[in-house]
Amino acid sequence: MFDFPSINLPLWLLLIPYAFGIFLFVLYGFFNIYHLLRFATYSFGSYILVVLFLGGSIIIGALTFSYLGTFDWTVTWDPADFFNLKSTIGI
Amino acid sequence: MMDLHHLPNARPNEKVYLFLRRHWTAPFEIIFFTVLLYLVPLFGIWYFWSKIEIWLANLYLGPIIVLAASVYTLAIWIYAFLEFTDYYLDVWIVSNERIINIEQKGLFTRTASELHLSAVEDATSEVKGIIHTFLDYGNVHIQTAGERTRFIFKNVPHPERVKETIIRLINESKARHQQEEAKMIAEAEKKVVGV
Repeated sequence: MFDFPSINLPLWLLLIPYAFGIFLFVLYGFFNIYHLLRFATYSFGSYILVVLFLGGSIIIGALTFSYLGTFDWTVTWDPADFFNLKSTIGI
Repeated sequence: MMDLHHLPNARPNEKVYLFLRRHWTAPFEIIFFTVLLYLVPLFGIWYFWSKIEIWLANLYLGPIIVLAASVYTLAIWIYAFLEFTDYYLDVWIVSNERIINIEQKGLFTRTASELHLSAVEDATSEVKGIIHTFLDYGNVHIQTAGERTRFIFKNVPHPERVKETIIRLINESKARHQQEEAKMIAEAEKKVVGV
C-alpha cells in the first residue's frame, strides 16, 4: 500500500491564494468604481451603486475576518490527513 | 461623468429627446442569478446544519470552509457588480442633432460613437419572441447610406415608439438643414449681387 510522505505545512499558507483572490477583487472593484464615476451619465444611481457595492464588500469582509480570527493559523497540517477527515467530520 | 444637459461637443440648441438603456429585464436577470447563486450554498448549509458546527470546529476544515465561503461570496458579489456596471454604462442618447452610442464591453473595452441625424437613412424596430412582445422591448436598427446597420439599440423598451421618434427627428433635422442651406445660398447670392 502506498503511504503518503509526511509533510507538515503551516495552515497560514492557505491565506496566500486567498490574499491573491482579495487582490483581484479589489482590483476589479476599483476599476469598476472608476468606470462608474468617470463614464456614467450624471445621476444619483451611480453613487447608490458604488455605496451598495462598498457596503456589501465591507459586510462580507467583516464577517470573513471575524470568523478567520477564531482559528489558530500557526498549526501545521499534513495533506495526508485530508484522507482521514472523513471519519473526523462524520459524513 | 457625462451631464445630459451638457453633452460633449454639443451643438447650439441641441436637446436630448431619448435616453435609453436596456429594458429592466437585463438588471432583473443579474439580480435573479445573483440571488440564485447565493441561495445554492444556503440550501447546503440548511441540509448539513447539524454537522456545520463540527466542521467549523475542526482545526483544518474550519479555515478551509470559511476561506472557500468568503471567496465564493466575493466572487458572486464582484460578478454582479461587473454585470450591473456593464448594463448601466451601455446607453443610447438621441438628440435633435445626433445619435450617441456608448457601449461598455467588459472592464477594459469601451466604445463611444455618434452619428449625425442627417446621415441616417432609416430606423427599424424589431421585437422577437413572446416575452419581448409581452413586455414590449426589442432592438432598433439605425441604418446609414451604407449597407451595414450603423447602430443597434439592444433590448430597449418600446422599440416602436423609439423608431418613430427617431424618424420624426431625422425628418425635422433634414428640413432644418435644408432651410439653413437655402438661407446660406440666399445670403451668398446677395453678397455676389452686392459686389
